[in-house]
Amino acid sequence: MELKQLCELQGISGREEPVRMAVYHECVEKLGEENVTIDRMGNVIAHKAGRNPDAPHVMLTAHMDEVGMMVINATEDGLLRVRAIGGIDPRVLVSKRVRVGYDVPAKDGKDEKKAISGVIGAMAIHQQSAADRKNVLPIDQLFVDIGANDKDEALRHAPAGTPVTFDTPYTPFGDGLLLCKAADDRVGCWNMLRLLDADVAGDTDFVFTCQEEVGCRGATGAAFRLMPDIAIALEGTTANDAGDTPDAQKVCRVGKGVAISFMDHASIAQPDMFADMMQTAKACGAAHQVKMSVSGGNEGGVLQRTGTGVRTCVLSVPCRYIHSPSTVCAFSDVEAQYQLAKAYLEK
Amino acid sequence: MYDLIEKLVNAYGPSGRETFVADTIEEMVKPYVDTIRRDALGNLICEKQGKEGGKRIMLSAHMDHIGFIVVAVEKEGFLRVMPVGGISMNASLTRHVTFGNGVQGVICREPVSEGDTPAMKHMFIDIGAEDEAEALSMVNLGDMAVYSNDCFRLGKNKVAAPAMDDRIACALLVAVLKELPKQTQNTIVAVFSTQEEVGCRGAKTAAYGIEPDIGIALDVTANGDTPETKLPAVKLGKGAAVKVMDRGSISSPELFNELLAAGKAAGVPTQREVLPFGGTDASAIQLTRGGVKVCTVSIPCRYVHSACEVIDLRDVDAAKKLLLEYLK
Amino acid sequence: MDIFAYLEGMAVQHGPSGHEGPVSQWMADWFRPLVDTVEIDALYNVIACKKATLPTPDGSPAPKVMLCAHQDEIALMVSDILEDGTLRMGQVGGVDPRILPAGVVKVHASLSGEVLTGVVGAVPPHLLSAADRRSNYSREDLFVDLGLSTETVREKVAIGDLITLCGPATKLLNERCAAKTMDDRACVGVLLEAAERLQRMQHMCDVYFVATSQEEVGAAGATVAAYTVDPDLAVVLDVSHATIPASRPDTTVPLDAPAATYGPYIQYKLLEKLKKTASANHIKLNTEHATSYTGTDTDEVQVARAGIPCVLIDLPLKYMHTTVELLDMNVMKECARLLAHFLCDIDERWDEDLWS
Repeated sequence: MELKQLCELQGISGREEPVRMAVYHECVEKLGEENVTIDRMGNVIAHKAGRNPDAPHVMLTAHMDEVGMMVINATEDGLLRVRAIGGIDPRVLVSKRVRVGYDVPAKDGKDEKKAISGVIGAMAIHQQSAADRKNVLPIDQLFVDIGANDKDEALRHAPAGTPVTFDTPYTPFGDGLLLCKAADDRVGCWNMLRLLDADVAGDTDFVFTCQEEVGCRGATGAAFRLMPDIAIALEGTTANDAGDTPDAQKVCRVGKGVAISFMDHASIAQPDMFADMMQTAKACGAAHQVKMSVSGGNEGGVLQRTGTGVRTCVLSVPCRYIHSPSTVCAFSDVEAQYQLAKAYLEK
Repeated sequence: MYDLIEKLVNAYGPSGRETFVADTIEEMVKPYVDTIRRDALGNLICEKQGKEGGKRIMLSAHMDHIGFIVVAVEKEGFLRVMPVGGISMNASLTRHVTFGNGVQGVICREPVSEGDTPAMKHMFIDIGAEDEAEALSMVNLGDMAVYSNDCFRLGKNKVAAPAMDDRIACALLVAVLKELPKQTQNTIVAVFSTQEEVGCRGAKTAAYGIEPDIGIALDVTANGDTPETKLPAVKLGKGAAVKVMDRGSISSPELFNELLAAGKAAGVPTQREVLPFGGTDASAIQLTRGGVKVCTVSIPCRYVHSACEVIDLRDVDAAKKLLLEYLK
Repeated sequence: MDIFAYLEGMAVQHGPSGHEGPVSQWMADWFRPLVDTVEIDALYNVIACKKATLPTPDGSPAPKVMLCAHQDEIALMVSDILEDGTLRMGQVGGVDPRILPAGVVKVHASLSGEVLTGVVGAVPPHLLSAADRRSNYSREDLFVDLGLSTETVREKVAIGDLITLCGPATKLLNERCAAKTMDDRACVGVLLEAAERLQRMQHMCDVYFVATSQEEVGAAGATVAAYTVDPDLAVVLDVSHATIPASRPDTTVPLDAPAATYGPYIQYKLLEKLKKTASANHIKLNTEHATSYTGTDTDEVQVARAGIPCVLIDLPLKYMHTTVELLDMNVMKECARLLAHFLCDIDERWDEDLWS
């Protein structure tokens, strides 16, 4: 599967089914049906036996879900009321295009389903008061317009609970950079699909998790089921390296390699494992950097605190404008994440 | 007791880097327990086997304390840091700090423009390096610094030091292990836990592995006996504090009453503690597997999370006798 | 089941979070005649199991369904005894200080073993500055007056003693009822009513009715109960805000029908199944949203062990976290009817097509 296809699939937290089915079929194709399961949370778990029975049992994760919105109601004049799923700054929403519902190809005699398009509008600048200009529009004052005439028509097309995703085509641009939605964490998913072919040393479970953006809910249960010795999360992380951010406050830099974390708000990397990962990166020649800020949180936290404890490390692809319709990352960093994870798994 | 406390508060060990403290404690308690192991999060788990049919009682004192982690180095050689655990900026300004490898530094703050609230991003550590390269030859990104050792007696009964939270409880637990009778009814599992200051992470995995019937956290608690502080109604020198509740957990009413009764039987003063904030390892132990009855025995402590945390030796003694009576 | 009799009983039980010992015994007595086993665990969860009455056609183990409603209540706690013998209050769960001034409370005095009546007092308005009069009292401004001398108070009351609110069940027009602790003991009542209905129905799943503890302080009870029960799926029942004139749009549900929550923490196919059950049995079911956490036991149950698919049924309630929590008893019955039918619709193929 191509990265493009993965990034353009739709799957907000709790409603990852398009991504789940795509990932599931690819795993089955590569590892056989008997080695792939979908668990009770909706995680896809692909198991690969290691060549060395004494090597530690590794759990690799990448999350399938993306931030987006959900329809909760409609106004009398047919605008959809929505709420954010995952952390979205409402300032990024004004004047954007979205897809309401999911595009589902025809299957098993069921008809193809198409999402419908919508736009998020706001009052024209001509009409705004000084206060309107100053105050951030909260999401309950932003509406998705699908062109419906009235409430009934709107809710017939998009009943409460319908997922809404950003409508951003996959666009390579600049110097080896990629502009897309959902790079967090489809890049990790894509790398993990490629890693299914790795010649792994220890037994390895590749876990495509759900609901990371609403509290790492999928990884919690998957780690409990697997009880691995080692867990590695393949993530997308905020870069904060553009504009006039002082150097010391930059988190990591796009294009400078995979970011290895020593600590974030969810976990402190196990010091030996952090050192081992740095060593492996040097040895295999993967471009790498240390994530320079203690910021954000991810599945590393819940993975580490599973059962009697799991040695955990997080490898991230730096992303600018994360959690917005337009995430930017570097192809070279995606490749570095793959290289480093592969070297570590095969060691 | 003072010597034991001094040795423990002087051992380097911020959250996530507790190995040295664990080594120190392991040496001390080895003769008094049956087995010692460490888990993936670095918890030091010391088990003393009880009689058949006895309960499994987990006692937890955390080894880690708050510190600073290096996240960037300025061209001029100054280190930018982030907090590890609940660091007070006011308490840190111009403090002497030490890294795990012995490098010394001073915490400073850049001038803050009017109207801007001082924040961690304004802080830096001066380690005397002249440029980035020299700084990076002394410390690495991800290295942690703690308030430098400074343990001293304050008046007749009090002791001040950084890391009193929670090495005082480590000292208490070591002392309890030393004085326990050779054979106890119940199995006692003494856990010197990790990463409490960043969310009771060590106690969570330790308790999962131990599967205790009862969990008792040993920690410090805030005081209400200095000028203009009102809550909680706990005073230094007035005895061991037994916790009713804090933000993290509500103590089991039965266990709470048993601990108060043990204090009474041992003839030591106790205080009831209601803390409107904070939390201890008890919060993590309680939620383990099918649920565990928990309570916390606290040592009242002034100026918690500063470089001068003050405790009263009489309270430590009371807590020790209370626990010995309870575990007997 | 006589629902009003149950509500009258539950409203005079005292069981703040972490101190559910007595109320858990009372709940267990209600469940005992309706189920096969009843247990109370280390955190006072009441776990009542009713085994399947139908075999699965293929002989596979019966699906295990856990139903949760919490039995604990918000309360106050003595945090200090002041010079004049009045009590300063801490809280157990979120108590709105606006409901306290001039309210009557019960102080559970541990040293004397008595239940003392107290009145919540405050500095009177004529002693306050004009600015202070315009803002609400905070809990720190208030105190409990036991009407006893400082000496007597110190003999009877200790720091950490519980203070509970008073709010007996009051029947209103149109089968409506107001009481304290409708949140969430009314939902435990729904579980009981459902259990009673199941006596006359056949079900293929093992049903675990759980009256959970400590929901108001973070769902500690549900966390460990879900670990113990290890169910295949769970239904959580909790109260939800019913519409009142000051309500903001999309934040409430109508008082006159049960609702179900949708959002990422809710398994959407199970929710569809619940909706189907509702429509097949002509039960009106509204919906409400939760963009991530639901503020109920669901949040912890969903991520217990390897993960548990959940649905959340909401019982509409006006004036939540007051002593006049108001609901419609017909809606409790409808909730119970929905729950009983849903349990009967769970067969060995319940999880087919859950994830595609």
